[in-house]
Amino acid sequence: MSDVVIAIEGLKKSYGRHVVLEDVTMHVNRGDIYGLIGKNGAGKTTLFKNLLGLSAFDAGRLSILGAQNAYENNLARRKIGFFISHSQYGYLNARQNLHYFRKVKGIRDKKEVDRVLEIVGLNTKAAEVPVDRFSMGMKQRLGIANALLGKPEILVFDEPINGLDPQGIHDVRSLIERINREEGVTIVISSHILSELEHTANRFGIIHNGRVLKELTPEDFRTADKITSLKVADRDVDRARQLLADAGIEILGTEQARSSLEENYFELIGGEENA
Amino acid sequence: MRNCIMADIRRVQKKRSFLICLAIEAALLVLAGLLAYAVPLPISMTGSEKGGTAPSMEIYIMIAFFFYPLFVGIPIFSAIYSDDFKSRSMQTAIGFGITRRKLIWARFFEVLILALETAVLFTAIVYAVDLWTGISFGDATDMILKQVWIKDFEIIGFLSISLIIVYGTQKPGSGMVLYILLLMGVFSALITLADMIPFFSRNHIKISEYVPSGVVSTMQKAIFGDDPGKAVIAGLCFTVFYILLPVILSIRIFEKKELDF
Repeated sequence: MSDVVIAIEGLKKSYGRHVVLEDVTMHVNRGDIYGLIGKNGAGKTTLFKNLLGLSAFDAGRLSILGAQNAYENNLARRKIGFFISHSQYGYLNARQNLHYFRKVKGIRDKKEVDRVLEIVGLNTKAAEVPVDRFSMGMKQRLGIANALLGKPEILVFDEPINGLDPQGIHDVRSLIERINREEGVTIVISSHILSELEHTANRFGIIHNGRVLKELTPEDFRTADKITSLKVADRDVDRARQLLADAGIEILGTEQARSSLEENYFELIGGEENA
Repeated sequence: MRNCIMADIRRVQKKRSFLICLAIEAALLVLAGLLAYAVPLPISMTGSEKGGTAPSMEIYIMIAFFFYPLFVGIPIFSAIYSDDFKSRSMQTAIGFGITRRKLIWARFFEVLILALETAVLFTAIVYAVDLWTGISFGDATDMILKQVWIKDFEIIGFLSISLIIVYGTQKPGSGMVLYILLLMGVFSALITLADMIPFFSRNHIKISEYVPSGVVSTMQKAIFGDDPGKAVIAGLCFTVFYILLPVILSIRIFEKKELDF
């Protein structure tokens, strides 16, 4: 049986006459990387604000880690780490920023800062300068480190790859996957870049005009296509065609596989570490 | 809440620009004391009939305190409220489950602590220079120290009033404008004009005595005029109406506000 860590049912939110969330229902299971997909203005950020208590919803039910009411939800929020871009003090360095947020969160163990710095790869000399001098990618990683303080059970990322260069996107994606795999953290991530979430998430919520239209898994994509592709080497294409034809199997189409833009990019600049 | 306060105070103490501003004001206060002792101004410059050292001391100290809002008031505002909004640490705290009410009180207590810290720091510096140089500033020391505590009290009040705008608009810049206008006495000058309205002047009603700067002025006169009873009453009125009430109002306003990422 799946263990639901975030349950949202019939959530409504409007600003005056403008309805932003209309009857939103979604469920996030423990261990998921849940991708919330929608165009700009679809309601992703508003949904996250409600989840994090930064905005109050008008109607519906929200339960974090089984909480039964608003008070319990507020307590449960202590087990959520969330990433906001630029949530840091520019004149402090990475370590000082994290110690600040460690204290705010009431975490006594000072080693917690070293732990999260290591996870995000900021335990370097380069991270000892004021954050104002960080690259965008380093700032994002610091934001993720902040979210990881206190070993949260759930991590919420709102558009974490916005404004990043290819290397930054790659780093953040790898980091999110690693945190989920190695730390066992449930992750909810929003993006309007479909290809990005397709690479990362194992469950998806499609949000459009304030409604979650459908929740999907990669399995749903496969059954929806009703097509299975086979990959063979270039030299075997003719023989494969012949064999399939002999077996009475119709070939619906062929496509020459090509490397991704990302693979080409990293190959040209001489590997991921050179980016 | 204690964690929030301690973390923020430690953070502010690491802010170089804040420390530089405090150092400048401390230097100005010491300089005022030294000048009052060493370089008495000609009597005519003071416009006082008493003459001698006392009026020149007042002028030096007045100049030193003219910069107090710039080097103490604004840096406190900026270090607590502007930084809070700019860094979005408020969202992190609220997202972590800390209530808005607790957060506003935490920030308010931070202002109190910083104001107290600066007052204690300046008191210590003035006394230290007094002892170290062997020069007794005499009345100047007394005047500077009283003025430091009064100014800090005023800063706390003006800052609390500005919080209504800060949390209402979620734009610390707007609150800062109100704060500066209050510090510059713009509103009190306008309200002094209201005292001249025939109805008020006929009935001897002085509205300007009831506005924040008027209450502080009453308290100040009472302190320097050795009237502790009046000073306490004025101080209490200021605390209730211009410190606590604006903070409570800010909480009411902010509780319903949505926070952006």
